[in-house]
This record gives sequence, structure tokens and C-alpha cells, in this order.
Amino acid sequence: MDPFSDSGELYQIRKQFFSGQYLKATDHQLDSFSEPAVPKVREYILRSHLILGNYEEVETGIQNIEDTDVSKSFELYTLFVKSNEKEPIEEFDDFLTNVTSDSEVITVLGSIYLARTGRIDEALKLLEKNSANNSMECISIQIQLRILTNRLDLALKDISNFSKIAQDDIVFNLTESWVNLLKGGSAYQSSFYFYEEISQSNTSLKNLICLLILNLQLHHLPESAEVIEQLKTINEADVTNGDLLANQITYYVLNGEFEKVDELREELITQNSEHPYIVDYNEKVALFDDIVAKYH
Amino acid sequence: MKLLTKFESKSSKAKGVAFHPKRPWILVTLYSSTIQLWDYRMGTLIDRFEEHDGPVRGIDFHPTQPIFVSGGDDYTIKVWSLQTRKCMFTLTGHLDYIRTVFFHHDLPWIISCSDDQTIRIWNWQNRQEIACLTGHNHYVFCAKFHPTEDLIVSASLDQTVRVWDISGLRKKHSAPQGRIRSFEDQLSRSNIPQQDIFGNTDAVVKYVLEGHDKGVNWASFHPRLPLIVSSGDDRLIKLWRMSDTKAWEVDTCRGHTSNVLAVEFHPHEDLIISVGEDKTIRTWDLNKRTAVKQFKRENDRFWTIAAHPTMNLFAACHDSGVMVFKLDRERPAHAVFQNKLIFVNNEKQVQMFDYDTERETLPMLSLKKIGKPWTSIRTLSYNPAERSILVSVGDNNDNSIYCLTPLPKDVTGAIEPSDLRQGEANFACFIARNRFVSYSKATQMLEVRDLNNSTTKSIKLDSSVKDVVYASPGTVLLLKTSSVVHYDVQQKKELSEIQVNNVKYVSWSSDGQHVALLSKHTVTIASKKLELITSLHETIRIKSAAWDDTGVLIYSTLNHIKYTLLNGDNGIIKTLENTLYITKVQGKSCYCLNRNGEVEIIRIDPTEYRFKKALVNKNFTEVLRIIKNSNLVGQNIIGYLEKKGYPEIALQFVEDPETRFELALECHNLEVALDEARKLATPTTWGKLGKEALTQGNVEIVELVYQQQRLFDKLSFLYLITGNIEKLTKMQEIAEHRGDLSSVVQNSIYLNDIEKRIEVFVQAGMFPFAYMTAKTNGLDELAEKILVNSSVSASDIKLPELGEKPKLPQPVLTAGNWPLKKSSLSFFEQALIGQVENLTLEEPSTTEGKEFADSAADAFGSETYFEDDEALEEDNGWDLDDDDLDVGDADKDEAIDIAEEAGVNIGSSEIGHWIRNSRSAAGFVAAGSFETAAQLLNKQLGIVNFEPLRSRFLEVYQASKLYVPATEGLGPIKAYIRSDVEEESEKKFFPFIPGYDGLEAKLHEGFKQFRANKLEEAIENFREIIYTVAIIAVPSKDEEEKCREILNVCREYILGLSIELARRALPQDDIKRNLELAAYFTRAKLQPAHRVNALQVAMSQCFKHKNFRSASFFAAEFLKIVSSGPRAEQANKIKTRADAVSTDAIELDFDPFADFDICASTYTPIYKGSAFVTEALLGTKYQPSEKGKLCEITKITSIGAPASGLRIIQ
Repeated sequence: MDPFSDSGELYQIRKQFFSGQYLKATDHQLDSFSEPAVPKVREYILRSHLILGNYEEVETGIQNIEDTDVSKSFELYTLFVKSNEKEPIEEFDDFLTNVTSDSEVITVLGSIYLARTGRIDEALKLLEKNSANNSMECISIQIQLRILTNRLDLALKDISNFSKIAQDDIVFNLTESWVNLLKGGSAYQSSFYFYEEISQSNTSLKNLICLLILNLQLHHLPESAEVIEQLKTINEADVTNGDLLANQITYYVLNGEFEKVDELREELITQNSEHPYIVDYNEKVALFDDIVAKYH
Repeated sequence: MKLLTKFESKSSKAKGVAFHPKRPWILVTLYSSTIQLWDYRMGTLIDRFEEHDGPVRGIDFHPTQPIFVSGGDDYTIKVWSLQTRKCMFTLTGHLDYIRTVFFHHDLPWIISCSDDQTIRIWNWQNRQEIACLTGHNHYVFCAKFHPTEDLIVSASLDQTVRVWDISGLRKKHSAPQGRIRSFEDQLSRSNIPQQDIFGNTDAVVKYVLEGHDKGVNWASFHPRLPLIVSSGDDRLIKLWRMSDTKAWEVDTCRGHTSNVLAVEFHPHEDLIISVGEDKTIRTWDLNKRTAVKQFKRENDRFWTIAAHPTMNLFAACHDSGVMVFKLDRERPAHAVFQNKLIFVNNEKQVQMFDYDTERETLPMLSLKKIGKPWTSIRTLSYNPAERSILVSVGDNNDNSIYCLTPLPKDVTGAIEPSDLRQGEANFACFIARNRFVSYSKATQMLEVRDLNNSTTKSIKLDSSVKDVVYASPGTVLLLKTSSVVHYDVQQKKELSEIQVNNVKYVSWSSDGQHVALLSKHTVTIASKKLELITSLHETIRIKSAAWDDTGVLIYSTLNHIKYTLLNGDNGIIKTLENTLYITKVQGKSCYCLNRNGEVEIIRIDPTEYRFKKALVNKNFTEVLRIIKNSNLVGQNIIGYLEKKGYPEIALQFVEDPETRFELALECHNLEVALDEARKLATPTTWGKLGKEALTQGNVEIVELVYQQQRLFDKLSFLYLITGNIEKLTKMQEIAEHRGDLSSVVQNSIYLNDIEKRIEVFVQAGMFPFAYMTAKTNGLDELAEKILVNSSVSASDIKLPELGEKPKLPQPVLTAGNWPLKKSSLSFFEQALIGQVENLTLEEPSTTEGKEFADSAADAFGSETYFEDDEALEEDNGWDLDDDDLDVGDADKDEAIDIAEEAGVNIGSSEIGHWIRNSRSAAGFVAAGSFETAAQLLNKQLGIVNFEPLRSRFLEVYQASKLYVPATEGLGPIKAYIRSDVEEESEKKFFPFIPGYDGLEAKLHEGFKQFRANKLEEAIENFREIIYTVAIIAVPSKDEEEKCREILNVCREYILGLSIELARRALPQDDIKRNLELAAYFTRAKLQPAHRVNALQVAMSQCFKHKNFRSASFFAAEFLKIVSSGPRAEQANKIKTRADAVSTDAIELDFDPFADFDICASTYTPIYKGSAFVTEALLGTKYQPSEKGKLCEITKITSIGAPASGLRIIQ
């Protein structure tokens, strides 16, 4: 039986991880799982810790990984995340060129690393190598990279292929929702329903932010305000790197509360001054300065 | 198909039954000679009629009159009155047992048939037999009129069914009387049916239907079709068809295992229903003549069956009584999702109804072929994400199935479902976007399935589960015999449980916090954790429930719509004629489905329950609002208020003085109580009022009451304790006047008036007392005098030892009321008196302006901000369609460059579409290509100063950007907000540009500032509107038109207000300029209500500076707008006095009768025909000298710059 199906033992932790309930995901005990499932469970737990910034937990966890390639990839990736730089790490590059293992997690971490260091094409190549394994997460990342490079057309193709192998999997559903919210039209609705449901059953900051996004896309301002209220009640560390604030800014702009916008922008700058919103905003302000000067 | 028993009686053998056409009554005739009248809805025996001698078989209600007829084995037919419940008369003539009796649907006739082999027709008005039909040669068991035609059908033991023509009889009895017959009449008479062998033309046999091999027990006409059904001792049911000239057998239904005693057509479905001695009720398909279903009773043979004339109800008589039942539920399967109702109509077609527009779609899907024939659709569940429905079909037994199918995207009429996924289960519903559950009673398995209909999980439940309904994503409610369980399907865990018996239906509140559990006679309201909140019992069956948008449960019984609050307070909202199933309640509309599968909208008055709810929740503002806005009177509400302890509110509703008085006392409202006491003026009322006033320390009222009641002693004491010496003295005088000596003494003590007291003692001949009083108080002289005047000697009187003379105590408080008990006004009283400013519902008006008097504010409310201004049309001139095209094409070519400039890899990205599609500057702003936008704005509008637009640029840019957190580490996915959510074609993707919806509100804000004399702020505000419109994108010409109108309004106001501000800034001595500017201000095209302010300024300034002619002109203009009130009077006065002089002291550059515009920077007139330059955004006009300067109105555009004009259509 597929261990990820909704009766399988990995179903829950997987759902928690992908729906952004990282604390819950780290709560699992390895010994409560059957032996073949343990490596995958450990991966999810370690990745959750990584996202939560618990690097010590990660470093101790790595010790227990049997597969040396996997443990190496975790080690390097942790190093990369900790450095908080976009500079490539030579050792990681070497590792990726030489590694022969087709483990899913190595591809995933590797491709994220490559994409973060600005080498999206290489990331895509790495993912392609693994796509024969039908790893859902690899496909998902591939689609996200397509979107990030403004190739929604390719993303649409990929997602329709993806739908043939997975109809009802959280990773597929998530990926599909991203594509849908970019595609728009009636697809907004289906994306909206997905987040409405998952934010009820598996509430997390990440899901609620997406629900907020969909509400805004559908011009539902009062509902958006409700989601923002709900976001405040979530007692969870904000690991969204500023997305939480950036989307709220959009809401307040639409609602005409510009003081609030300025306040949140300041907050976002302190939290993550490299957030695309801030980068973009500064760019536009500069652009506007030029215009003022040009016509004056 | 399912048989649902609604009522059963226990009695001896029942032989006949009839339904009342309107009320829930049946008459049952018993073999034991009794006739019973039952209310089958309440299950009560209303009456018994016992005048027949021996068994009674025939029975019928009159379709319209309050009478009924019976026929028995005593050979008599009796007609009874329902009003008096007495037999009115008896018809005799039959010579043997009477089998059936029926009324004619329209003529005053009764038909009866008897073992004497005859059928007789009687007129019950003149109580005579009008026809006797002979022909059957054995007992006649049944004879009936045709429901519409002049025909009779009869069934006899002679093995035949006969159809008789009685048109002759009708002619005879409705023939015109006392008139010579016309030729045609005679001719038509000659055409009447042939005579029978006895020369009888009234009723002749039309057809003799032979086919039964044994006696025929029953025969019946189809209500609409030319069909007859009959049943006999040969255990067969036969169907016959007739034309005008002949009749023939169509088919036979076999199945009964004993004599079939009665058979009827279903009143509106293609069904035949029969009963027999084999103890079964059987149903047959009329079209296929096949058995549909049989229902067997253990011990009772059935004797007859009757169908309700309109409803889906049948009554069957058997050995131990009668049963009333219906076939199948009549509740249309439905589901509610947001503002949509999805339901199955009576044709088994799916329809959708929109609550907002109150419109329903055409049928969109036919479910006829789902399940076995004659099974009904029980439930429907809707999945909005997939736009599919899941229905369960069947009757909760083994034949049930579920069926999953998508709804067609476009509604084109009832099509067959294209993609059906079915399975066996009693129940199914969606529990998540991609999951549904099905439950089968036989296996007791709850199965979770995905949309491909494959099972992902199976859960074994116990046998007490009767039904399963949806609760929340991933959870269901299990309805058990004695409890309801909230069950998490994912975790296979019971979350909570509540003990309630036999719950059948469930309704969740819209916020999911409460659930109403409906069983036959109780409504139980529980929280989402299934904690009991309240429960109530109904004697009539409960049918449905829905939550009002304020959290009140509205439910329907068989014949009422009622409400209940969470605290259990309930009441009736409306009486229903037909049973309805409530699906949703929204404000005053209650959306129901009726038994014909149609949506019915019932308008209800929610005031009562909203009022009660507000009261219970102590939401007093709402209570107040309701009191003010509706007339809720009635004992019901008053009683409720008193019970709940709100006498002061009840007071608002009562007029009867006595009740008002009592209520006023209860809420300590002395003023009202006093008013009412005056009206009532009875001693008890005064007494009660006095007591209450005393406890409250309201001296004035106490005094009044005592005066009214002539309670002098009390009054005196009251004056004493309040230190009112003056009045006390008066009291003493009054006492003297009344000759009440003891009262005088009393008062003299209060007053410490010793002389008076002595005087009284002397008067009364009580010399010793008098002496003693005088002596002890040191009035020796007076004491001596007393001794002299009396026979008392000083030695007779032993003076007591006294200490120091006591001082009279001084009252603590000497004036006003004595507040012993504080009675503060309750919230409502205050509100109702209007004391509490912030409670009033009207917005407080902010008219601080001194010059801008307040009446303008009142005038404003009713007006829209754009009047029919000629200027509007003139301004349209410069927007030519050809211009638009030129600009558009030019933009197109630039698209790619622009994209690159915006730093976007164009690919298939949203920004790319926006840049390609946009034609308005706003579109480019939103797409981030500020450069292009600026170019356009410069070209189109001559904008040169961009700084003021900074915040608008950034607002528009930010308003459509979103950041989707996706895979951790990769950074967010950028997402966008489009202007049209439903647009599918990428050629029509436009960014969402905020601002349009808020324009009107902002305009009104400006007007408000204007009225409040905050002119600078108003100008700022109008300018912001201009900036918003400058960078906006709207979908069509209509919106564009509106934007232009708004711009014109803004221009006029800014211009007018700038002139006024300039005038106020002038040095005092510049009178000429002052008057000119005042005059120009009146030329700004403001709303009339605002223009009067300008006119008033001009009028009074001119008058003050002796420019009488102009003052008169402005006064006249003023009076054109304001024709009454103090301001108008003043204007009138000015006008009269100004007209008397009618000259101007100072020559102004202002010709009131000429048409001119005002230059917005020099504030000088531009007369018609003289040269001017304009600015492109608003079309503001300037003197040619101003060319090249920055527009004073917009502050962004260059005057006289070449420009193509505003274009804001996206």
C-alpha cells in the first residue's frame, strides 16, 4: 500500500509538513513508525527544524542518518541556510556534480540551493534527472521554478501531466493551487476552496496567508479582514520570511489604510529587507523619483 | 418507494373512509354502526355519530359545503351537518344495504348504490330522489360520478363494470323553467341519448365492461385521462380505456392473492393503488401495469382505500381500524451553498436558485434514470470546488444507492448526466473537497471515498446508527436511536455525543457554532461541541429549520413558521397553508421549498424575534432602534417585556392608563406615574404613588398626593421634616379653620408655637395644661392671666422638673426633593428622551460654519451630487473616439519595450498580459512601468508635476501584488489581483485598480467639509479625488462618464472654494475685489444647497458695502433656491431695501446677466468669445496669459499644453 495514502502511516506527517504545520511535524517520535518509514519521517522532521531555525536539532539529527549522501546533503544545506547568503558554496556544488544517489531529498535540497544561488537552469536540470522517479516534490519544485521564471505556460503543461500520476495528494493539491491562482478565472475558485478547506482542517499560518491571498484575488475584502483577524490568533512562529506582512500590506492598501501600510512596511524591512516586496517597492520609489525629476 | 404511516386508529372493523377536502380530518365508518370523525394530524377523535342502525359502509364529505353523507345497512342515507354535528335529514328509498355514497362535485346531487341492484341519484337540496338507475342484475358494490363529465361508473357482483351517461339528467334539472323552448333547444333535446326500454332518458348505460370472472368490487375514473380501473373477486385489477363511442380493456394487473376490494388512481402520479383481503396494499405502475411495491399488514384484511383529493395522502380501512399514509417523502432533496440553493424538483431535475437575485435556473440535469423507478431522491450534497453533486436515492432500505455526478457548466435544460459514479449505500455526502462518505445500513460500513469512487478507508459502525449527515470538513454526525455523535472520519474518533432521541434532520448555523437537531416533535439546539443549549417540544410535526443570519433558528412545522432563540424563547411567525421546507432565512425573506419541488419565498416580519433577541442579549441600541422604527405593539410583547424585567421598555408600548401607571411604578418613573394617576384619580392610585414618591424622597409629589388625599397630619409632618415652616404655619391655620383642635396642637408642637398651643388649651377649657405650658416655657405673665381667667390655682398644678428647653431640630435638608432612593433613568428612558447624544441614531450634524448657515446641510441629504449641468455636455466634446484609437495603437507597438523597461521577462506572465492589454495609464502603473504611464499622462493630460501623484502611483502599484508562500527556501510566488475575477481570456486580463468604488463617498466627505467651513481640507479632498481618477481604469463607458462628472464637480468646488479663500485673505480695505470675488464665487457650479452659501456671502457683502443693485440680484437668486425660512426672510428684507435704492456704490467687473467663465488663477472673468486656454485633465479655463503655468486646480497639469485628453477605459 502507498505509505502516503490517507490510511498510510506517513499520511499525517506529510500533510503537516506540506501544509506548514512545522511544529506539529517535529512532534512525531521516530520509534512510533515502522522501520521502512523512518528515514522519510526523519527527513520531514529535520526539514521542519530547518525551517523553524532549530539548527542544533538538525545537526544532532544528521548524525543518525544512515545514508551518507543524504546526511551530507543535509549538512551542506544547513550550512547554506545558516550562512544566510546567496553565495554558492563550492563544496555543495562539487557534491551535487559528483553525487550519484537519486534520493528525492538530495534533489530537493540541491535544487532549492541552486535556485537560491540564482542558477535556476541548473536546478531544473537536476530535477529532470530525478523526474523519472516520479517524485512528487521534485515535480512540484520544478513547477514552482517554471512559475518563478514566468513560464506559466510550461507550468500548466507540467501540472496536467502531474495530475495523471497524483490526483489526491497534498503535494499535488498544493502545486495545483499555485498554478490555479495564477491562471485565474474559474481556477481561482478551485484554489480558494482548497485553501478554505485545508485552513480549517490543518490550520497554519502558511495556509491562512494563502486563503487571504485568494480572498484578495476574488475581491472579497470583508472576508480578507476576517482572515487577518484569524492570523492574529495563530500562535505560531512566523517563518514566512515576510510573506505574512507583505500580503497584509496589499490588503491595507486596498482598504485605504495607508498609515497601517507604512507601519507594516517598516516592520517588514526589519524582518526581511530582501523580501521581493521591499526590493520592488524601493525600485518603484526610485523610478518615480526619476520621473518627477524628468518632467519637472 | 416508501409507505410512511401518518396516523392509525384502533377500532372495530372499518368499512369506509373519506378525507375532508381542506382540513386534516377523516370520517371513518365502522361495521359497528358508528361513524368517527378524526383529526389525523393531531391524532384525536373529534366526534362520533351513532344514528345508523347496523354497519355503515358509504361515506363522503361535500367538497365545499360543511356537510357529509353516509349510507348504511339500514337502507338509509343520512346527510349530516358538520357545524351542528347533527343528522339533518334521511333519504329513504333503497330496499337493501347501501354500499357507497358520494357527492357530485358541482351539482347538489348524491349517488348511492345498493344491494337492491339499483343506483340512485338524489338531490340533497330538495331531498328527493331524482333518478333510479337499473340494469345491474346483482348487488351494486360501487358507483361514482366522473370528476368532470356527466358520467357514472359502477361495479357489481354481476361481474360487469358499467359506465352511464347522465347528461340527460343534468339537462332535465338545469333546464330553463317557465320559458317557451327555443327551436334550437328542442333540436338539442332531440339529440339526447336514446331512451332505455322503460323510456327513461335521464341516465342510460353507455358501456358495459365485461372481463372480470367474478364479482367486481370497485371501479374508479382517472381524474384526467379517459381511464377506468376496477378490481374484483377474481383477484385482478383491470384497466379500461374509453373513447366517445366505445370502451375496451387495456390490461390486467395480477398479484393480489385474494379478493381485491378497492382500487384507486393516484391523484397526480402515474400510479394505481389497491387493497385486498390478502392484507396488502399494492401499488402499480399505470404505464407499465407492473407491480411497484406491496405493503403487508400482519393480521388485518383491507376493506377499502380513499385518496386525498389534493395531497399525497391515502387512507385505508382494515379489520382493526384505519391508517392514513403517504407514499414517499415529499421533501425535495436540496443543499445550500453560500447564496445558492441546489435542489431536485418534482421531475427529478436538478435546479439552482440564487438567493441574492431570487432567480432560479432552468433544470440543468435530469436524475430520472438514477436508481430504480419509483424511488425518490432522498438527499443531495453539493461540492462547490468540483461543481458536482452527490445524491442518495431510495428509502433507507436495501435498494438504496448513491450517485456522484458533475453539474453541467452551462445550463441548457435538463440533460442526462454524463459521468455517473454510483454505489450501494443508504446515505452519502461530501465531507471534503475531494472526499465523500457513504454509509450502508446492511453492512454498517462507513466508507470514505475519493472522487473516483474508490474506497480509501472503511469504518465499521454499530447497528444503532440510523443516518449519517455532514458536520464539518472531515467529520460527520451519526444519528442514532437515542443519541447523536460527532465523528471524525479521518481519525476514526468520536468527538462528542449528545443524548437526543430519533433525530432526523440537522441544520448548522452559518458560523458553524450551533446545530439544530430535529426529530419528529422536538428541536434540540446544541453547540458545535454538542453541548445542549436548549430544547423545545412541538405537538405538530417539525419539518425543517434554518438559521437566520443573526443566529435565530427559524423552523417550520406542518402548518407554521416559528422561531426560537438560543435561550428557548419561541413564537409563531406565520401560519402556512401548505407544508414548506425552509432552506434559508435572509433578513425578511424566508426561502422555502414546497412539496411540488418549487422555491417559495415567504416574506416574514423578523421584528419580534430580533427585538426579543436584542433584549435577551442586552443589545440595547438595537432594541432602541427597533422601538423607534417599527410598531411592535400587542399584549404579547408587553407581557414578554414585563416578564423579562424591562417595564420601562414596555411602557413605550402601552396606552391604557392603568397598565401604564403600574409599569411606571415598577420602573420608578414618577413623572409618568403622576400623569397617569391624574387621569385615573382613584384613592388607591394616589396611595401607591405617594408611597413610591416617599421612598424616592420626591417631596413635591408626596406633597401633591397628600393634598389630593387630604392627609393633613401626614402633610404637616412632611413639611416639618423638610423644614418648610411657611407651609407648616399654613397647615396650622388650615387646622384652625377646620376646627380640628388636636391637629392645631400637633402643628403647634411642630412649629414650637407655644402661644398658639396655650390659646388652644384655653379655648378647649384645659386650663391646667395651658397654665403648665405657659409656666414651663417661662411665660409667667400669660400663666398668671390663665390663672385669673380660670378657677385653677397654681398650687393645684405640680410642675414637672424640666431640664433645659429642647431645641426644635432643624431638618437636614430643607429644600427640594429628598433623594432617599436613587432612581436613575434606564438606558432606554434616556435614549427615548433623547438625552444621550451619542445614542441617537442620526449622525450628529457638523455645522460649525458661521457664514455657512446650517440649513444648507438639511437640503443636501436628498440630492445627488451631479445636477443636470449644461457644462457637462459641453465638456464631452473633446473626447473623440478616433483619438482613442490612435493613442491605443501607438501604445500597442510600444508594449514590448515597456515590458523590458519594467524589468520583466515577458514570457507568459501576468505583468506581460497587463502591459499588452492595458490602454490606460493606470494599467501601466499597476504593471510597474511607471515610465510609460508617465509618458501617457504627459501626452494625454499635460501632467508635468508628478510629485503629488506619488502616493497614488504607489497605491495602484501595490494594490494588485500578492506573495504566495510556496516551497520553503525558494521565496514566494508572485500572484496578482485582476480587475475581473471571472475573466478566462488572457487578452482581457487587466490589473485591479482600486479607487472607483470609494469616489462617491470621498465626494460626500468633501461636501461635509464644505458645510463645516473647512475649506482648505475640502480642496485637498477634492484634489485627491482628481488624482485618483487621473490614474484609474474602468471597464466601460458608463463608469468613464461618471468619472468625468465627478471631475467636473471637483473642478467647480475647488475653483469656488479657492475664490472664497482668496476673498477671505484680502486686506480689509480692498472692497472692490472683495465684492468681485464674492460675485465670482456664485458662478461656481455648486449644488444648489451649497450655492446658497455663496449667494448669501455675495448678498450680504454687497449690501454691507452699499452695492444695492448687486445685492438685490443675489437676493433674488438666493430666493430662487431657498423660498422659505428665516434666511429667506432675511434675503427678502435685503432685496426690498436694496431695490429701494437700486444702485451700486462700487463698479464691479461682474455682469450678472452675461455668460462667462472664471480664470482659475487670476480669478477674472473670461467672457464668451474672448480668448482662453485650457488645461487637459479637468478642462479648466484660463486667461491666455497663464499659458505654460501649473494648473491651480490640479497642481499637476500644465496649462495650455497640447494633450489628447483623459482616457481611463482599461
